[in-house]
Amino acid sequence: MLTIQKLIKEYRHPNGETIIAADIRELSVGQGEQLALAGPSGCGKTTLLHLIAGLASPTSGEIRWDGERIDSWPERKRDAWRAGNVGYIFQSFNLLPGLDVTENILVAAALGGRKPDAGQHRWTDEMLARVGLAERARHRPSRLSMGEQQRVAVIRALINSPRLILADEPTASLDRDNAAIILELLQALCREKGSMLILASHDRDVTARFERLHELKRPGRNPV
Amino acid sequence: MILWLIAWRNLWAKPLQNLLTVAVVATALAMTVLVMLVAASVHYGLVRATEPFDLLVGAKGSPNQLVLNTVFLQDAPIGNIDYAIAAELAASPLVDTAIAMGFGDNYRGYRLVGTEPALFEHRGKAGQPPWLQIDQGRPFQAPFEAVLGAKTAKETGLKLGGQFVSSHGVVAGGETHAGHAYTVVGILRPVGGPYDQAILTSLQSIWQAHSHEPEPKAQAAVSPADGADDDDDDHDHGATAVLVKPKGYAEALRLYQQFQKDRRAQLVFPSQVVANLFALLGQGEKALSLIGYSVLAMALLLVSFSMYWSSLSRTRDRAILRAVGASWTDIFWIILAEGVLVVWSGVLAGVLAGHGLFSLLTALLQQKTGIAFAGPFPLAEAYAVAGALLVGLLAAVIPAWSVARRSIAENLEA
Ligand SMILES: Nc1ncnc2c1ncn2[C@@H]1O[C@H](COP(=O)(O)OP(=O)(O)OP(=O)(O)O)[C@@H](O)[C@H]1O
Ligand SMILES: [Mg+2]
Repeated sequence: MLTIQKLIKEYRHPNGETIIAADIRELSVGQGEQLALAGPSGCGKTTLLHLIAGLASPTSGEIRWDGERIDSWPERKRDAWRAGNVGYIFQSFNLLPGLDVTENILVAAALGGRKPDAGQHRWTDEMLARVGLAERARHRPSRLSMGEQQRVAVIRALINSPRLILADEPTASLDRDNAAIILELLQALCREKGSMLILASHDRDVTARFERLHELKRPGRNPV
Repeated sequence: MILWLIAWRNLWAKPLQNLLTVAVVATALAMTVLVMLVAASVHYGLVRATEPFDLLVGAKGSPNQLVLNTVFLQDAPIGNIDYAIAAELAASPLVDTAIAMGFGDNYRGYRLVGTEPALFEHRGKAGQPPWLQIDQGRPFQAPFEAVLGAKTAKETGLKLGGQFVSSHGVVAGGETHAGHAYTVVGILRPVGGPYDQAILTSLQSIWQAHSHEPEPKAQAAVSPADGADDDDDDHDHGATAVLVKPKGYAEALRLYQQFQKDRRAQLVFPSQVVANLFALLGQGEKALSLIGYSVLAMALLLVSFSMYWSSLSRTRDRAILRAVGASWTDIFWIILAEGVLVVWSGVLAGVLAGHGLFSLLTALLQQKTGIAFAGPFPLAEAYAVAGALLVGLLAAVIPAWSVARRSIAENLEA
C-alpha cells in the first residue's frame, strides 16, 4: 500500500528562481492495483516516480509504504528497499550496453549482494521465449530494436517479483503495435505477480487501458 | 562479483579507448622500469667485473683505457711496461701478490691474456673462493698451453687437446702467428664477466709468439732490440698490466703515492675508475628517470580525467543501475573497478614490457662484453611499481567518488 500526502519537490535554479517540479496533495494505491499517471509535459510525472523510488528526496510531504515513511529513510535503506521491492522502466535505453540480454535481466537479481537463483534463471528463459526473444538471449542490446529492448526491460523490472513497478513513458519511443505489446505484457505480468503498477504517460491511448487514472496538474512557479 | 563483471563489460563496450589508456600507462611504466633496471644492472655487472682487480699498474696514459683493456677486455692496450716493474712489485713489502698480464693477441676476436699461473689462485677478497676456477683440464704450464674462458670454449667449439693459432692485435683479422699453435689444456668455469671470453696462457707464450716471428717491417728497419732478443732474456719483455693485491688499504695508498712519482708507470684503483664513470652515468640516469616519472604522472592524470569524463557521459548506465537497485557505493565500486582494471593492466603490461626489453638488451650486451648484467632487481623498481599501482588507485578513486556522488535524479531522462 502506497500513500502520498502533501508531497512537494522543489528545485532551485542558479538564478534564484524556485521551480516546483511536483505537487501532489494526496494519492494512495493499493497492492496489485494498476494506476496511470497522466498530465501534460512538465507536470511532474517523472519527478513523482523518482520520489517514490527514492532516487530523489521530497522537499516536504510524505511517502508511506505499508505505513512506513520511506522518504525519511537513509539513502542506504532506500537503496536496499528499491533493490528488493521496486522495478523501474524508463522510456528508452533501459539496458546496459556492455551486458547481453540475459545478463541485463539478471543484473537486477544480482545487485545488493544477492545472487540470481535457479528459479530466476529459468523464469528469465521462459519470459524471453514468451516475448519471442529466446534466440536473442546472448545478444547485446545494440542489436535489438527499441520494442525488443523494452520487452527485455519489462522482464527485468519483474525478475525480483517486486511489489511495485514504476514505468515512465515505457511506450513513448515505440510505434502503436509495439506499444500495445509492451503494455499488454506489463499489465499481464503485474497481474500474475500481484505487483502494484504505476505508469506515467501523457498518451490518452495508453492511459485509457487503465481502470484507474490520476491526473497531475502543472505546478505553479514561485519567484523568490 | 557482479560489480566486477559490470566494470569488465563496460570496459569492453569501449575497447579502443580503454586499450589506448592501457597502452599509455604501459609505455610510461616500461620506460621507467627499463631505465631503473639498466642502471642497476650495469652498476652491478661492472662492479662485479671489477671486484677481482684491486689495483692495476700499467703504462702511463688514460686510467679509463687501462681499466677498460685489462678488466673489461675492451679497447686497445696503452702500451707495455718493463716486466721488471712486475718483479719489483712482487718483491715489495706493501704487496701481497703481483701478477703480470700481457695483451696484444687474439684468436678469432677472443683476447689472449698472457699471465702467470698465480692468477688461478687470485681471489677477489680474502676468504672467497678463487676468481678463476678450472672446470675441465688443468692450468697452463708449458708455453703455448692455453686455458679457455667458458664462453670462448662454447663459442669456438674448442675442446681439451684442441689446437689453434693466434693472430696479432686485440681484434680478429690481424696476421696470424704461424708456426705457434696453442693447445687447449683447460676450460674455466663461467665467471659472469669479461674473462669468460678470454684465453689465458703464459706470458712467455705471448713473448715467444712475437719474438720468433719474422716481422717484415721490423726486419727492414734496423731493429737492434728485436735482433738482440732471445727467449731467456725476460728483462727485455714487457707486460701490459700488473694486477696487484696490496697487503691492506694503507699499503694501497702508500703504493699509490709511490707511483705518482714513478715516470715509468701509473697505478689505478679500478673500482674508483668505475665509480667515476657512474657519477657521469648517474646524471643521465637521473634525467631519464625524471622523464619516466613525469610521463607516468601525466599518463595517470590522463587516465583520471578520461575516466571522469567517460563515467559522466555514461549517466544513463548509472541511472539504470540505480533504478534496478544499485546503491551509490555500488556505482562507486564499478567506476573504481574500471579505473583500477585499466591502470593495473597498464602497469602489469608495462612491467612485463620493461623486463622483456631489458632481457633483450642485456642478452645483447652480454654477448658483446661477456658481463653478466643479471643482478638482483632494484628496490627502486618495486617502489616505482607499487607507487604506480597506488597512484593508479587514487587516479580511479577521485573520479569514481565525484561521479558516484552526483545525484541520479538530476540526470535521469524519461
Ligand atoms: N533536476 C531538475 N532541476 C530543475 N528542474 C527540474 C529538474 N527535474 C525536473 N525539473 C523540472 O520539474 C518539472 C517537472 O519535470 P518532470 O520531468 O517531472 O515532468 P514530466 O511530467 O515527467 O514531463 P514529461 O512528460 O515531459 O516527461 C519540469 O518543469 C522540469 O523542468
Ligand atoms: Mg517525464
